[in-house]
Amino acid sequence: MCVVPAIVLVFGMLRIYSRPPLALTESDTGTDFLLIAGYVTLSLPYMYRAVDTGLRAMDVRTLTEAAQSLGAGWPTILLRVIIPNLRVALLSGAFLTFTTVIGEFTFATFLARPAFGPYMGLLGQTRAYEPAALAIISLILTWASVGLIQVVGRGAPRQGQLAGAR
Amino acid sequence: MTEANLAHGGRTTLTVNRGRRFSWVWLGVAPFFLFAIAFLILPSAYLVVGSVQDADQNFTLQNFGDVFQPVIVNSYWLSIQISVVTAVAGGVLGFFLAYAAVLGGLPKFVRTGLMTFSGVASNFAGVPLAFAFIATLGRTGFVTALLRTLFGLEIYDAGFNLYSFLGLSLTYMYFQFPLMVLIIAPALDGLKRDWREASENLGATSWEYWRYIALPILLPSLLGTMILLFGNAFGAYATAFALTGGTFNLATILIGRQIRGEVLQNPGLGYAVALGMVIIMGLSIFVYSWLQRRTERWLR
Amino acid sequence: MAFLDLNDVRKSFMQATAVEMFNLKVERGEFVSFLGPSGCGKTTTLRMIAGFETPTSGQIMIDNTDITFKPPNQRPVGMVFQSYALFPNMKVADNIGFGLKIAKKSKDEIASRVEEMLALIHMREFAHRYPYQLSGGQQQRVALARALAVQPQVLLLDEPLSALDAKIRVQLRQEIRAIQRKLGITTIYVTHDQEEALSLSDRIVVMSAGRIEQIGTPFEIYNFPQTPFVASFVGTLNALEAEVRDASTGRIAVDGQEIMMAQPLSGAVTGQKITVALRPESISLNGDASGANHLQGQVEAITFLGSIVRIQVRLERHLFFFDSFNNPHLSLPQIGQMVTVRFPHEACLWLSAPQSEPAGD
Repeated sequence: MCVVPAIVLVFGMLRIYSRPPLALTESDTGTDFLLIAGYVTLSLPYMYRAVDTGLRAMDVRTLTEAAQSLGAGWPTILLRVIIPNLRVALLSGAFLTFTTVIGEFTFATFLARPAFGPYMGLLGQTRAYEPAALAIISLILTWASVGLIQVVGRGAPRQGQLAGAR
Repeated sequence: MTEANLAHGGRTTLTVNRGRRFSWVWLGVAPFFLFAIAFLILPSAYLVVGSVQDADQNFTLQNFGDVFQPVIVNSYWLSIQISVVTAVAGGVLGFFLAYAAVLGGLPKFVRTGLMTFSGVASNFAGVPLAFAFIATLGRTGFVTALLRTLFGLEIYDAGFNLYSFLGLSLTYMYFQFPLMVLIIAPALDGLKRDWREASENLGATSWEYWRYIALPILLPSLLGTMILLFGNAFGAYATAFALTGGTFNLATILIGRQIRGEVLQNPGLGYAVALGMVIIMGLSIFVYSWLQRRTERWLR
Repeated sequence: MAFLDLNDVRKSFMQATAVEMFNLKVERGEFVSFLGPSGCGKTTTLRMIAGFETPTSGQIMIDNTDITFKPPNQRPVGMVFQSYALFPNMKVADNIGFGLKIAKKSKDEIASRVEEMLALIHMREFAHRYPYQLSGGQQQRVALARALAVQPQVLLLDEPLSALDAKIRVQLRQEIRAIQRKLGITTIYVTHDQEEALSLSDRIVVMSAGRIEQIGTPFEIYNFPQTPFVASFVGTLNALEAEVRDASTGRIAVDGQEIMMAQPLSGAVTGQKITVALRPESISLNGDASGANHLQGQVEAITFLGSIVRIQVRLERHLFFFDSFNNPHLSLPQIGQMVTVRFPHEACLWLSAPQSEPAGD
């Protein structure tokens, strides 16, 4: 959970990046970039937690020293020792981020991007039955993500599955 | 966010020890800092600066005085009420569910099932959650209709309304109690069998074990997690907006309307309202981590 | 009638039997150890005395009262756990006073009793510390005081020292024994460490695979092991397979080399395979007594162990070792050298016919 709630963060972002010198909201590409940046910020706390759990579960120092003594340079150590050991943590964090972002409403609606979240919101105001179908699709996506987290995480230390409220 | 910064703080000392020249270690964390400054620190700082400026960008503290007008105070009060109610109710329900699954002697698949469900439910929030509740408990919802046909029970005549305080609380509960289950289950796992046996050996009954040992040990975790639930509900916007169409006057809804330019007419006041949210969230996360540390110290 | 009496106690979990026909009588004030490898049933037996497990059959009596089916919180026993099991939310004094508080003793009574217990374990100045502020050894002393504060009739210790460092372990075990003597409390001590059992106990119960292998004083257990398991688990005996040559005179052969036992092998027949134990400390390179046994073999390894030097010798098939006291003038054989070792007749023990396979771990 982030100290700055999504609604407050998007508030501040809109005020900074909608006027010169950093008028990102002038173009669609710029707004998309802002949207991505916002989602990355939202995902930082639990991504950090996931990687932290993963790093605690292995002895980074010993692994690094063992790899060094076998003649590996730091790119090799990072890519072939550390990251493979963090695979579960990174994947869990990624799936969790996916779940959170796919139906995200607050950022997308205030940045006026036609994402899945605002689309659901719009449909909810105009149609009677379609929203229920969208809710089921969304639920299936969430189940799939959590299922995947559990599949990749089998036998590994428990990964957090907490994103935060929307 | 604070956690990430701390981790890098640890690395700084290492750099200093190696000598006072420029260290490449900083280059590795530079992208993170740049990103955090651009998309977290700057927007937040903008709110702080904006909240102490008037319309002509002169320094003023007037905005903080103006915060105490009824529309703002009411929205905060409603947010706090709904957060407290759902945090306590979700906390208690989640605790008993986790207790049953972890210590209740149920088969292992019950626990696995509950944990998986909690993982899903705690992440199933926002617009789709609101739709799901409208489709089940709304005026024409499935459960509403089912109760009508099966039992002749008209819940909307009996005073229930999904678009009210009770309805929104019920909807929030759907992600609140699973969150409690997810966080408190490991804490229940941490209760050692030896403690129970040692207390029994010293003559204590099961009730006395809970009264003097298990509950005091769990209390920081319980309170801390409930505070986390409080913050979780307090910062929520999408669920409430989608359920009530923005008519329910929560603090987050108020900020949303301010962004759209519908209320307050004073930008500085809007920033002050937003800053107030950050302060309340910050306080609850601070208390949460303090309680968490206290528990960890005991259970080393 | 014994003070603590276990009568035909059995315990099985599902299909597996954890404890088989356990019979033991412990006198008031006695210190008895259960010794055996992990999984031998010693902890299960202890937990049945404490009431955390219910026997499948049999009877447990303390001071002529049947406690077999009493709940644990109504038994007059105090227990010390391997993990200390101190309540982390209570200070040392509150931990020690917990049992008295549950028993609804008055505040003054609790305070004075806690004070007395703190003095007993020499930890007066730690009364207001939390368990996490104490070392492992201190925590275990507090756990001991907590168990003793309610004045139980029997004290149970479940591998209390195995989580501690070697030095603390020796110091604390002496302290435990001193306290036990001072209070005269009947004590059952579970351990897998033979040195602990030998140094502490009045009597030792050696267990393996849920069965009692032998009950006896440390002296009896160490010097007269009755089964191959006891011989191999307690002390460091050489167990050798031998063939009986003449039962009436006690003549046997190990890998074809004949040696004499001190006594005739009553009940054995010529040609029978038996297991004999050879004590490493009674074997020497330069044997003295005439007519004593001797064996020829090749030196395979020499291990320096500080005060002693352990020499391994290979016969045709068997390998055995013996210890020489270390001294600066000691002349050691070369590895690969053929040597003749000597030992008196009494160094050779006949282990009664094996009843069960020794447990692996």
